Amino acid sequence: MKHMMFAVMMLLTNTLLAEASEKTPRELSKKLYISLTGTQPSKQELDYLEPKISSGEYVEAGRDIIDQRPSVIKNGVNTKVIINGGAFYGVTVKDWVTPKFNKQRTTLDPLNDGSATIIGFIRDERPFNTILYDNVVYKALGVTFQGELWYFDTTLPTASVANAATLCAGLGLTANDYKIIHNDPLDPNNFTKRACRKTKFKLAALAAAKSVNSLYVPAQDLIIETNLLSTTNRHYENISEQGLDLSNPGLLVAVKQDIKLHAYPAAISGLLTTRAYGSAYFFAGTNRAPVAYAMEHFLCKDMEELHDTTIPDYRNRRDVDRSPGGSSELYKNRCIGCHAGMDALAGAFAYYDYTNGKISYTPATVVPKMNHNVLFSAGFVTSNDGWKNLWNQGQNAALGWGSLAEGEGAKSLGTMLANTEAFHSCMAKQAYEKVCMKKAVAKVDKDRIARLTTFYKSSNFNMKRLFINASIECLED
Amino acid sequence: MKTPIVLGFLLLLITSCNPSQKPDEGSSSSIGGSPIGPPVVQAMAPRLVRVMNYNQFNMTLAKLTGINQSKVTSVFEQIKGSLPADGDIEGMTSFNLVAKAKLADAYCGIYINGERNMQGALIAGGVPMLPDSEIPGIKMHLLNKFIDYDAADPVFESLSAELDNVISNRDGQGGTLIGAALSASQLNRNLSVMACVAILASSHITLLE
Repeated sequence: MKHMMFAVMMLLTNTLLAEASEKTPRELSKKLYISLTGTQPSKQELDYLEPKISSGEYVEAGRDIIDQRPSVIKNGVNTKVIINGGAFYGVTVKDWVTPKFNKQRTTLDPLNDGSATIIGFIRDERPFNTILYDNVVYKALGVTFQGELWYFDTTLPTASVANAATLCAGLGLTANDYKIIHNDPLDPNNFTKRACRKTKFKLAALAAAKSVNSLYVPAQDLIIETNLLSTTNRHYENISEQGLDLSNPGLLVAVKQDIKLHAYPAAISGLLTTRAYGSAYFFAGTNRAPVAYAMEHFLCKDMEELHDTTIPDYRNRRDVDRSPGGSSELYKNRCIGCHAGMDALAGAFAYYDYTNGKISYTPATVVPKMNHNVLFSAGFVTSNDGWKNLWNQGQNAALGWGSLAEGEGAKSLGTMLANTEAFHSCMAKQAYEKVCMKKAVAKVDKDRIARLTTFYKSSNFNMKRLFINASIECLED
Repeated sequence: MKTPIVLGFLLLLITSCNPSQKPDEGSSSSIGGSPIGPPVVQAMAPRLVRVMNYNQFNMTLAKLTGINQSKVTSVFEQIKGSLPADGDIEGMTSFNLVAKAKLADAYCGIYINGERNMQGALIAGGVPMLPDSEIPGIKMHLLNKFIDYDAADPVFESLSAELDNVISNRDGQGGTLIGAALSASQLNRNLSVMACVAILASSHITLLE
């Protein structure tokens, strides 16, 4: 039933747009392209898109733009009609998500594990309501130089790698080609699944890559500076520097966080436990920041909007002065408004810190910063990673919380946040504002966002479709 | 390469009008965007004219010229902070315009003259990306490659006229743009770079609407 409703809505969208448009199909094609990619279409791309728009295939056109399809045979070569370097992911989505991983909210930062994971979720159309707790991080798919690949110049020594000549036979390689024999990137410890390929790299570059154990990406014959994720962002920065196409499924792939980021399964909670999120919000402070910024970035509610002085303050910690400046009224009328709800949720991060460029997680041991600066000794003392949602009463009950109201650790908190009504409508609002390039302040904008939210939920939380539909909503503006 | 930057900057100012802006556009939506009901005209804030931010502009230039962004990384990183961080046209400064022209110059230099090393010598095979045979028809080549050019559309008249001046080495005031003694071939290529910058840094490319 849900899928049928979804299909009918889409059909109506296309039909109405085709009938009611005042812009020419070419103008609409251009606008759709710019909305989704932030880049200018070429004449050839518009020539391809125009008939699709004329026949009302808006969603299909949007998909073609995003995924750079289709390919046609031109002069015997498989050639893409739409070529934008994956701009939807590398520009539109990246610009949208980058401010979520720094307190300055700048878009200028390079790719990181958090932004790459959001891009991967959208590209692969994974249910986006799992992104705050799923055991996933996206990284480049490759093999390392130490033990997973071997490189050769013009000769193929038979002794160093078993079956080297056989593996490279039949690939059309000439004697002068440089070659790499590598394990399967998806199963790097299985030597029975080795493959051979030609490489553009010469011995000096390959030796340099081996000396620092870089990552080789066989699908694209490229080298990523490092395969380390937990202690450095260079893996992602290097992807940015090389201008790689993030829409390519052979580049970014999903792996489990407990392989690359965390030693403890209990420490894993989707975006909230990526290195980028940790470096922005676990560093120093009191571990309230991960909650406050999650509310802002994923529920579209900053602390001012959440401010509610009717919430009981029994979880307020000892570092909150109960009479700031000698005034207990100030505490009751201002401080409680944020701390009562926030402190009760921030317990979820009691075991996290960010030191020496890495997230640290100390199971069953509360990090000191959770209980330091005692200003009111009778305040709440954090003794574990339990959290409680006190905002499901009062004015903030309108955020549409589910049945989960308390838990232990970041994963259960992320699960609760990602399944609120506020999370869904926030994603619709942010997608709309991004591709429509304006703030949603008018009633018509809010009506559209309400429709997009309904659609998003019915589409199994498909962010790619949400972006396409959002861009279609404002094509005539 | 300073001359192309300066000229690109001037042309950018000359052509910085919004080529397709209509005063009455954006005040209503004829389709209302409704997927489930009839089109409804509703009052709403007009969609603002936006300019490309640093990331959009860099990707656009890479896409249109076919040059990987990594080829201009050093220039891009140097001027990234001077390019617009967001698309707010009211926040545009002269620094933004100069930075745009400079980035366009980096791409155009490679596109027309080929990738060169620090000493100015060709690298990566030693052949310019654009063959000599394309230089005489460079204006139409650039217009057709970079924008959805329609000779009958008056929107493109001023751009076309300015390109004619550049390619003919006319500064529009009776003088020449490049006076130095260069071979005819190199003069034409340098003028082609200037024309390329003029298009890529123009409002035809940098405005998002």
